[in-house]
Amino acid sequence: MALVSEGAAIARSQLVATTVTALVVAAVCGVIFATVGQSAATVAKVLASIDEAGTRTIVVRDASDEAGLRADSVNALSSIDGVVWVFGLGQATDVRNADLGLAGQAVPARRYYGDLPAEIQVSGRLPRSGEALIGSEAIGAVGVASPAVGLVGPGTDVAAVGGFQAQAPLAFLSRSVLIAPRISASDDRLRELYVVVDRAELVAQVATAIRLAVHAEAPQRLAIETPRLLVDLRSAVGGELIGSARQLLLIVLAVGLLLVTATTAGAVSARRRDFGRRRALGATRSAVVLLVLIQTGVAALIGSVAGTVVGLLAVLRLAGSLPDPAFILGVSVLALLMALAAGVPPALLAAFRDPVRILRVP
Amino acid sequence: MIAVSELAFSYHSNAPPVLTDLSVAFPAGDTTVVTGPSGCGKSTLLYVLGLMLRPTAGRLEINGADAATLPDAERSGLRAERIGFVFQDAVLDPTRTIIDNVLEGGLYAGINPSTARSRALDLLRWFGVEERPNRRPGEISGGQAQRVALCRALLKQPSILLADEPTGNLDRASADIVWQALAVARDEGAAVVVATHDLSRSVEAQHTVRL
Ligand SMILES: Nc1ncnc2c1ncn2[C@@H]1O[C@H](COP(=O)(O)OP(=O)(O)O)[C@@H](O)[C@H]1O
Ligand SMILES: [Mg+2]
Repeated sequence: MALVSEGAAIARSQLVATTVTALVVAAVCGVIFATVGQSAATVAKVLASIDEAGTRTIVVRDASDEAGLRADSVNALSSIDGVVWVFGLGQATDVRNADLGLAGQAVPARRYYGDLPAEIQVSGRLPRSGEALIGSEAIGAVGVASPAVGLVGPGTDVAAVGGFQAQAPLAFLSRSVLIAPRISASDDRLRELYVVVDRAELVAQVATAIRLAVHAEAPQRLAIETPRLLVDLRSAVGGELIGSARQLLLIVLAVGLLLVTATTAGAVSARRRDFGRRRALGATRSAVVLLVLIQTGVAALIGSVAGTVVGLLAVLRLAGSLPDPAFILGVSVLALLMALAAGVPPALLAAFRDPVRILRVP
Repeated sequence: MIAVSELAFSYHSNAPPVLTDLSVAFPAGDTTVVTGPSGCGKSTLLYVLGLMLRPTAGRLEINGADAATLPDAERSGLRAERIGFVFQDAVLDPTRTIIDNVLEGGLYAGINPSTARSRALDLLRWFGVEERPNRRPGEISGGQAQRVALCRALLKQPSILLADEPTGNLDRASADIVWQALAVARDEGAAVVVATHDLSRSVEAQHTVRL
């Protein structure tokens, strides 16, 4: 404990060396964040946007009713491993505000099958069989302020009881009316099925399973769309950006290591008499090593905190988002360890000098 | 009690030995003066006794054990806890205050800081350098610096006190104070060894070793 305050006092008494070490460590942190960190933030952003674009979504289509896709496929597909949710949609029909009749604007209405996923946020109560929800962008077209209204169309007469907001991959439904399924609807025909899987890597495997498990009269006629291209793009982007960042990180650390070693070696040789006196007064070799490392560590700690703060501010301005906290902590600790490792050779040099040769008066 | 027997020392394996076949005991409670012309090996002997140099041959007994062959960490421990050393020029830390310099005498032995501090202030007072203990070594005279170095050596209450020409650079009055302090340490039971070429000081000692 006494040695820690002693090492801190040395760091104070050698302000130039301390400042240089702190600046080098700060620069290492700053450079890593401004380059690696920024590309890490960019990778995260690109990956997030790819994921948002639906890398995890498989769409099963029977556009012209030639495959005979049945509504009970929803249950059948839900039980496939890796499937998060399944959502089916029937044929669209036009409906209008019952109060306005044909004078009103037509909006597409579709029956849905399966539980409403979290991507569809309902305001108001959930619809019962034969009741409907109006999408956030369809409300204006229906011509009402609140979504409680009767809707009529060819062969359709439903009461809307609420509204909803839809997000990717179902965002397009915002312009539609969704009608809750009838109680026994297993024979109904579907036009589209949306299957969302747990992880992008599972897409190919689940797509194969879908073709086997789906309930349809002619499954081979179904169009099963997978985001294959997006999945490939995702792994390519992740791999390439992270690879070049790692190389850069190593170069920055190596340069920082050399600079801190040179600085510490200079500081140690300027204090030959100091270490000689300490050894003569009873400091062990390990105490001398510790003193040098504490001196370097104090400077490095200051530099690492300052460099992290400044570097992160730069990343925030350049990339608009921060790398994740584990990465931030990792970089600060890495820079600190780099400085301590750089201090070891000069520390050993100081510890193994002969005190008599240093202190002798001729 | 510290003693050497058949001690030899040379700085390099092919250099002529500085000390050969030296057998002397330095009893506790006595002052031993080491004299001889310049270059005869007085400082070298004190560095060997102070465990800063290892003998080339022979034994170095401290309280019955051979300190010549102990590992470095244990020799450092003895320096920290048992041995007080006073150099010819004070060898103070110029970046630290007077009081911190005295406290360094107990730092490596891990002496309790508050005990050390009050003892350090007592010592500074005894030596008449207690005013402004927060001054740096650059702001005091050579005589005062040597007294501070003595305070540092005495802080741990050493059982062996070694002084290498401690008064060589001092005026008569300052030198007298230093010799008084050495006598006090001796009376408290330390084995005191002083290297000096000033033969008139032999009267202060119980034993004289001529090299
Ligand atoms: N580091 C060294 N390497 C080789 N010879 C040395 C070294 N230090 C001192 N000597 C020699 O050892 C001899 C004794 O020196 P020293 O112990 O300082 O004598 P004194 O203190 O009596 O003047 C001298 O001849 C000196 O030149
Ligand atoms: Mg000498």
